[in-house]
Amino acid sequence: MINVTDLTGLAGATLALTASLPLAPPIRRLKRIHIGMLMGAAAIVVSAPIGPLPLAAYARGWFGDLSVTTNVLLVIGIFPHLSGRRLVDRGQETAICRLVAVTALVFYPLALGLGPFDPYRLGYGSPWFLTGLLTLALGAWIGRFHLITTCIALAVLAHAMAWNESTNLWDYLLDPLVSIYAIFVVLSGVVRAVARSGGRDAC
Amino acid sequence: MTEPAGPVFTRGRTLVLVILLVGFGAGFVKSFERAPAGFFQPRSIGGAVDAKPRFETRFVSGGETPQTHAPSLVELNDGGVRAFWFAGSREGAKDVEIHTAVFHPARAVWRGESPVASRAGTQRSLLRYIRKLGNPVAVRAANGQIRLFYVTVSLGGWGGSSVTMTTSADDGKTWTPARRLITTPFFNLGTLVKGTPFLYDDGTLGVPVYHEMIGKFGELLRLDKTGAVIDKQRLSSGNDSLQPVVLAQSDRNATVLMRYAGKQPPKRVLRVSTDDAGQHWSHPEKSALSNPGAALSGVVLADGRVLVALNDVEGNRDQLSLVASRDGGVTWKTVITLENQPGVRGHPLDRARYLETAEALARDSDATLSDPAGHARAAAAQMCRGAGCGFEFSYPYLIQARNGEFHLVYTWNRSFIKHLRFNQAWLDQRSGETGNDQRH
Repeated sequence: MINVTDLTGLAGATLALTASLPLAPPIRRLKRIHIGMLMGAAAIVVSAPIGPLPLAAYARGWFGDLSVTTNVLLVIGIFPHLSGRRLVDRGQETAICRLVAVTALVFYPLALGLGPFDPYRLGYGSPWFLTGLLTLALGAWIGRFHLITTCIALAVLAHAMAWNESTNLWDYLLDPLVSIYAIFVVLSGVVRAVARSGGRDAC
Repeated sequence: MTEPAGPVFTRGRTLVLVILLVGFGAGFVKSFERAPAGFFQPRSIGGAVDAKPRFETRFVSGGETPQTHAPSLVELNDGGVRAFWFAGSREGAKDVEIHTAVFHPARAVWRGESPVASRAGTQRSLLRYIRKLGNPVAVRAANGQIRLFYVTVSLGGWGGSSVTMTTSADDGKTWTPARRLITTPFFNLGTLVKGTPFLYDDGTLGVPVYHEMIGKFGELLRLDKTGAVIDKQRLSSGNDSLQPVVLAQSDRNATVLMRYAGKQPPKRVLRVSTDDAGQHWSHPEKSALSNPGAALSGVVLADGRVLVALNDVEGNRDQLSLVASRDGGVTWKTVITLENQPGVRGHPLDRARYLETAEALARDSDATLSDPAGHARAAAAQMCRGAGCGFEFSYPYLIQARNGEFHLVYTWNRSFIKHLRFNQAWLDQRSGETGNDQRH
């Protein structure tokens, strides 16, 4: 019988694969209803077994289960293409991209072996790590960065409910895909800002 | 698409606070349920069941595949021993499977070689693409089930590895669907298993693993009774240590030996230790044991001695020895050199001479072999290259059974798995004979 964590993992992979569709210029020009139908059809295609596994399973084999942050940002990214409205203010996205980019630049080198300290270990239920995250989430809430607060809180909740295959909280907060995306967006924002002397960030 | 209209969620400050409180409420409850740090549970197996020295050798695998490698062992409830190894056309090939066979001590035979895990089967269980399989290790968990851990790769070479686990409640006759352990944050890449897993006193499981992507360093996983990863510790860092083996001498003291993967001579086994049940580990230092950068295995005897099987020369894997230490791995003495082909070290043999030597070695290894020449040909197929032929006796895996007997398996010329069975009386006899032997 299929595990819940397999279902959530495959659903995340399906979301990631279909979310990229509206980025293609020919598809962006379609009506919203047609984009929605196309994405629905694509979701069925990538979830259906082709050969031994569905395409989503191959994608999951390569990039693993997606973090809550990635899933939330994918939904935020898809939403305007389907509804014509943003889900959250652009400033919220900018703030979380900056936080993810800075965290990833510190976290991944240490977690992959730079030095004896392994921050990934904190994700196995350290109450101090959880307290630090709570402080950060509360600070973001006070500062009205609600997307940051929501992503952190949903990640902690999903970890407590064993939503994904991983037992480590870090895997619910962050993954390499959202980290690469956030670093790219922040860097391109910086480049644009320098070029235009005060241009606005995209994320 | 035209520029989207204003955001849907412009308010909802209270809703966000509710999500925060619910999320962290659940998070802290889970955090408080976390198992406290465990103590080691050193095995205290007494002397041999008989006083007569026993030393036997034979082959485990029957040559069903061209290449075999990386064996491991687990004792069964009936006193038998089950071996696991990977087998296929070549290391890293898509046809590599995890094979198993059972040793019956009374009859002194290995029976029932069969695959226990395949790439396709693992792929179906994990619902993700799997490119190849690697090292298997097995352990009996506190609840009596056997847990088999093996390396799976979805992407790239061994650096793209992760560890997969399957469980058997009937001593290896049937297995649960495989599940993947998540051990690194970067696409779960880079973790491999080789060292013998062990039990903590609270029933949780310690699984020595190593990271081999960008850096190369040893790590120790702790798994709860359901097999979920609940902790991970770094035993070393940097780019020069692999395949840790944890040797617990008491509930708080343990020595870890690791394969040195650096380039700085001399090539020695790395050693770290703890005296607080793994809360803190010493900085890795080179031990007195020479090693070419190859896997090793060991057990702790009831009298506190540490017994290790390894390639104890710097250059090649053509010499395999048993060595012992009475001081937790600081000084070592050779118990016996099990395999040794120094004559060919650095001077590859031509095929004809290799076949002759390998046939003699096969015959000496297993007196019941009907076709030792066939074993030699299989070895030559793996070990002969353009420059000539060499020998390899590598990846030892050593356990002590409940009756005090020792079982050692290792890769024999990449083509067969060889098994040694010996007892405490033989070991004591050898240790006495080599009392003044070469000190490492």
